[in-house]
Amino acid sequence: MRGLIADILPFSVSDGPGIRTSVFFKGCPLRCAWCHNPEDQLPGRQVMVRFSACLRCGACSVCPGGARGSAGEYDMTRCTGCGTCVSLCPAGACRMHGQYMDAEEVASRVLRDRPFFRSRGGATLTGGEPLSQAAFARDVAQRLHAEGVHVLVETCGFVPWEAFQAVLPFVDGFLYDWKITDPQAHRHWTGQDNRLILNNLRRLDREGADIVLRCPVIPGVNDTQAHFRGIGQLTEELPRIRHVDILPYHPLGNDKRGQLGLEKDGFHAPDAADVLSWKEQLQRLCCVPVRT
Amino acid sequence: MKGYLAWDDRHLDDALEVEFHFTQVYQTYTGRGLATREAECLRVSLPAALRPVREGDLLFGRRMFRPLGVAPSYWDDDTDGLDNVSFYADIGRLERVMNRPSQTPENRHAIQEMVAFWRRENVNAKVRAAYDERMRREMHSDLWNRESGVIFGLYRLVFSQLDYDKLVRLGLPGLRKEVLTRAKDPDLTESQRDFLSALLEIICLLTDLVARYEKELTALLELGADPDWIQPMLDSARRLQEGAPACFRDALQLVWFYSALCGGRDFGRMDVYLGDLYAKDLDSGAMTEEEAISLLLSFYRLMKDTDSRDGRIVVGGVGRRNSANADRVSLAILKAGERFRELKPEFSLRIYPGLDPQVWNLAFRMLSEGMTYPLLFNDTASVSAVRNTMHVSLEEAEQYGFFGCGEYVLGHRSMGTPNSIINLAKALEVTLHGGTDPVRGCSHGLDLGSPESFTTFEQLVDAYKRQVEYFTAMAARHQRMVYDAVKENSAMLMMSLLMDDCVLKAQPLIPGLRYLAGTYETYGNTTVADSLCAIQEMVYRKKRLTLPELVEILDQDFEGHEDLRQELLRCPKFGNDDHEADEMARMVNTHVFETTARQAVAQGLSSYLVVVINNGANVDLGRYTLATADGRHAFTYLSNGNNPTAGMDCCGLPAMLRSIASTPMQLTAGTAQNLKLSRSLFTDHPDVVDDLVDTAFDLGILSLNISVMDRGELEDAMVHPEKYQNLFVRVGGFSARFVDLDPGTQADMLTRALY
Repeated sequence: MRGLIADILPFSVSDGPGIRTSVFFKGCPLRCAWCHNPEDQLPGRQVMVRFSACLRCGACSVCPGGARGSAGEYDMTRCTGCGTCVSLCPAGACRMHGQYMDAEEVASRVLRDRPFFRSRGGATLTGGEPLSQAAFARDVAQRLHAEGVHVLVETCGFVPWEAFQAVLPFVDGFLYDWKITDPQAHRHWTGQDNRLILNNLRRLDREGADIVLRCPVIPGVNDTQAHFRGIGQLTEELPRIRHVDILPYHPLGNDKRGQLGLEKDGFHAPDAADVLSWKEQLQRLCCVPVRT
Repeated sequence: MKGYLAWDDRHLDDALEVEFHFTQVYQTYTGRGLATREAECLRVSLPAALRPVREGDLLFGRRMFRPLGVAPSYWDDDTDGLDNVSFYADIGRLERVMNRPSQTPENRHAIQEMVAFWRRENVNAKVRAAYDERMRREMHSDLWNRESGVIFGLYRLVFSQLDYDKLVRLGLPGLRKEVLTRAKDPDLTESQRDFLSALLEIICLLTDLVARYEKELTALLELGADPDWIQPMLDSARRLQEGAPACFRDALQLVWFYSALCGGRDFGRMDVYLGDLYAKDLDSGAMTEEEAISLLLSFYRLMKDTDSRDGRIVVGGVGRRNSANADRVSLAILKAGERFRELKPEFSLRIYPGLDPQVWNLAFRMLSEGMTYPLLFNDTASVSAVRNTMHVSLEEAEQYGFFGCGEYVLGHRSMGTPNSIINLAKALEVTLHGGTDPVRGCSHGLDLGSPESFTTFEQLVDAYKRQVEYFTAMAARHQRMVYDAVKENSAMLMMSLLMDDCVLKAQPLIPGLRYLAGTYETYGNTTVADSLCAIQEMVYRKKRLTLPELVEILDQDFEGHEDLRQELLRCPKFGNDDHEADEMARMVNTHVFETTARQAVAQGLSSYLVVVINNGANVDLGRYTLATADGRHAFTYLSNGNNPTAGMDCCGLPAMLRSIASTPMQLTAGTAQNLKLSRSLFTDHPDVVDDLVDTAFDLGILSLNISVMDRGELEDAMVHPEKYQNLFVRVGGFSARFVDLDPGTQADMLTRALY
């Protein structure tokens, strides 16, 4: 089965235990305002332009969509993703992001790194939203599982329950994002309500899945007592949550937003004292370990 | 960088009395047996080389290096580090004394004559004098760091690891007894008797020099020096004249004293030869661990003050007769190193399944603190490689050691200092220029045809291989000539005394040494492999341009052809788990490794092998190498060690390690692999570092040189992004190549946790 992959990155050490290879699926149903992988939101191939590397040679001015000028001007809104500029750019400043791959190819690529997984590591399917391509994700997970690879899925949870059902037999655990407790605020900042996400989380818990709750904390958005209490309550309610991971906002997605022709997200990074304070507050409210 | 730190021209008197005396003795004894002459010369030079103890020294035996002497290697500062072997002469230092304004005309004249004599008589000069016309042409200079060329000779016997275990077990009196017993053999020839007599003279001389320190220390005590400081040294000096080391201090003292006077630089399996006395002293309460560390720190300081390179100490590994005691002292050796925090000594840890976890934990902490030591060796793979390449038994292979940047040697059984340098990228360059060096503008190497004549890629590769074979044979010949010159001019007595099987055979180091091996260094291996890949792709497959056109563009350093350079950069590169690039590297390396190994028989060596190491020579040689087809600019650095060219590996650590593992490392006498990791990986994910090392070793990688990346390197990555293609920044699910980020983001990243 074929699917759209944004990237496959080896030697990942923050997306689960040990040395892991992270498979980034392209396409996500949410539009989180702070998203640090904005290039993985759209479910199609996209051109990214690293403007700082552009030689202003004008090789790309033949752009059939008219997105490229003769001396380094760009209008990303006119980009159709045809890739003409990518093939012509001598500096490699224009890059095509995303490629269609067979599940077998993805699995075989991951399996090359297997010697590094040893007893702790494995593969993490992330993105984007891997479960937006549930059948493809299942195919990949099944192949890896059959080879004895420890498989984790990082998910935003905004997918039909059937998507979880599809991968559950082949997955060792979930890194489950919980962004905002208040449903309306959730819709405001991510474009979608959180009820489906919560229902899936509860069902996943009932199914006995191993869960790490991953909570991005964005100053001015969800660094509130109410949200923190909500996280705490979830850990009380759902016994399968093993840890809470705080993911403090960082502005690195802005760089990639620029390469996609998007404006900056406008948030500010917290300082270390803020992060420590969040951790302390959350640890008081949660009945499982809180990590940063 | 300056070489021997212990000397300074100011210490040399205008009259150069010691040097005149040395020369006179050398001349007088020439023709009366090499061993005798050398012993007589050492009786002049060694006493003059020793310096008094300094405040804070816990061990005696500070030494300086006189401008004339006999040593395994003397590093000539005037040439920024060219080695001189056996009887050396530092002409630059002698001339500086000669030219002092305070110098009398008579003295000046006399020094001039002495200089003229040693210009002919030093062993380096004798090696060169024996060159045939072809070698004189191709090896036109020894200044590898200042001149252009494919091949440069080196002159040294350095890095051999003496049998300090024997020294500690027997002490000077025990060594004397051993030689005396051997000398009783009625079947010895006259030259064998001379040799053994000379060894006895040397042991006697060393004992006298210890006695000299005894007197000096006694005098210091009488002058009111702190007895807590002086008395233990004094007691040690007395004991060492009478018997074998009785305690840890004695052992350390004797090893330092011997190595300083011999001019050796590597200390081999220190955990083995210090382990038993260390355990005895600790268990009896005679010494604390802290006292042992203080002594070791004094040892390290003497090492640092005497010589500015190498000084390798090996701990761990299979084949230790006393592994429990050895592990105990390993902890003290490494703890002292952690406290010393200098570039020397160079600690090396042989990692094997039985390694004491405490030793590994300490090594891990040292690495995480940003020390680049210990260098980690894959013991199982190394034993196997040494066994196969050096043709020795398992028991002997288990006694491998390493020196310099990690080259294998058999502890006190073999000699294998690299004695030549070959710039493989330059070999390809002269091949593409019809047997001329375009930088010097003169004939160099074989003329195997013009670029037009290489109508197929295979023809080009064949020509390159022939070129390398031509220079490799020359390197082997040079190695043999160095050994021959040493043999014809010296007995290398101090080395002979502690190297197998010189006493047994009653023969000097050469030919007495059990394994007379050889090695040489190649540079630019990956540069050549990547260049051949690019040539194959662009010239022969895509026919984007012809070979003569490419050569012309390379000669002009891509001027006006940046687009072509970018295309060349995008051709397959070693270090990315790319089959084609890795196969090319495998072909280039296998060829040079096997060609080299074949030279051993012709030159009468027990083995002759390549070392692929990571000192700074790749930068120096790159300065005289034109642009290369891998997209490298003219006169910039070549690839380093057995690593991908900096900046060309961009598919992550596992891919890089798989590429490296695909090279035939087991055919070499050592390959250096660098691994740059972030500090946060050590602090936040120590289990990952464990997994990484275990996996690299499972892949068959022989050694790992781990350095911890710090803020400074990330700042450098902003300025030189081309060198950091493989630097990923990660925060949770976020991942990007550092160099793909805009400068502002990069600056932001500098404050964040990276790996």
